[in-house]
Amino acid sequence: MTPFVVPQLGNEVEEAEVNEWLKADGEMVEEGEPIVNISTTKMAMDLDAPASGVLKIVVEEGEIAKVGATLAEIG
Amino acid sequence: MSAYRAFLGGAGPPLTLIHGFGADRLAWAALVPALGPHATLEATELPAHGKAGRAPDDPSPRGLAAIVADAMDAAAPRPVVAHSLGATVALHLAQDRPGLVSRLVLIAPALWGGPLNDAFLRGLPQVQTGVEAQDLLQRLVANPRFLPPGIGDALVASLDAARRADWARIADALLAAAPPPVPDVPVTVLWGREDRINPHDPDALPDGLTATLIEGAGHLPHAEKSSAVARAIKAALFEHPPG
Repeated sequence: MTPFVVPQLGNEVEEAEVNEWLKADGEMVEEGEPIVNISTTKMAMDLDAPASGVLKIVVEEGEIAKVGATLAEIG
Repeated sequence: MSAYRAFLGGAGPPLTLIHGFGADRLAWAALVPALGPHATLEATELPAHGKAGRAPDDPSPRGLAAIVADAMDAAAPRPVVAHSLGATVALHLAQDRPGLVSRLVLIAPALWGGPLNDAFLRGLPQVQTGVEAQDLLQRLVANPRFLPPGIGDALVASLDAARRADWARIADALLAAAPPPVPDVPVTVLWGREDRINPHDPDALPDGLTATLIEGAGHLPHAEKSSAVARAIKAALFEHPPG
């Protein structure tokens, strides 16, 4: 399984909120395609899948995750 | 009056980032993962934005460029990635301070496009409620999911009388300014195809320049299509022969 984590978004950004999963739990995803939309206080962004495989969501929509935390696993 | 320089992260040679009107250093968050492995990312905040001081007596893009030049404190020419008003400031920076800028990547440079959205620029300093602000800010993006919930309330809370006055002066000066000159450094231009604030107009670009259009993005392609924008920046700055 490949962990899908909240990346570094700048020195002042410590956490992000999961706004919307663009793929469903259990769905096949392709490396490089946007799979989740997250937001900081000032900006929202999509994150791309780091690998191809089946998505297993760990952090649900509306929840906050720290930078470096696992949002999902792909495998 | 001052600009403010913030270290965002990354490692390698310095890369300066200059945000647009009403934004701040945190506007670049979506590009940090892709650009951080290639460069030390320094965000310079324009006067009257973020942690910067008041706007100068001359709040035009050229006047702002003089303040930004002092804040950059660059020992050697470095690449600059800049957005909208920040891109216009960066063009004056490259023109007026030779040796400060080595290369430019400009995202929707103000005054090099179609007519600027007057209602947005003059309206933003005047917003009184979060709902009103959220409605104006929606015009920045092609897809509403790229506008964080609550950003309208946060904007209104951050605007004191001094900042409102400075933003109004900066907006007026931008709307009255002439298109910036083409500097003697390589320039790459990126533009969101669905930009409603500063629409792309190929006839408004200086001769010899063409914009790479980012599909599915409005005025904030560096957030809405960050992967595509990061690829274009890396191609222009890190995969291009020095020159």
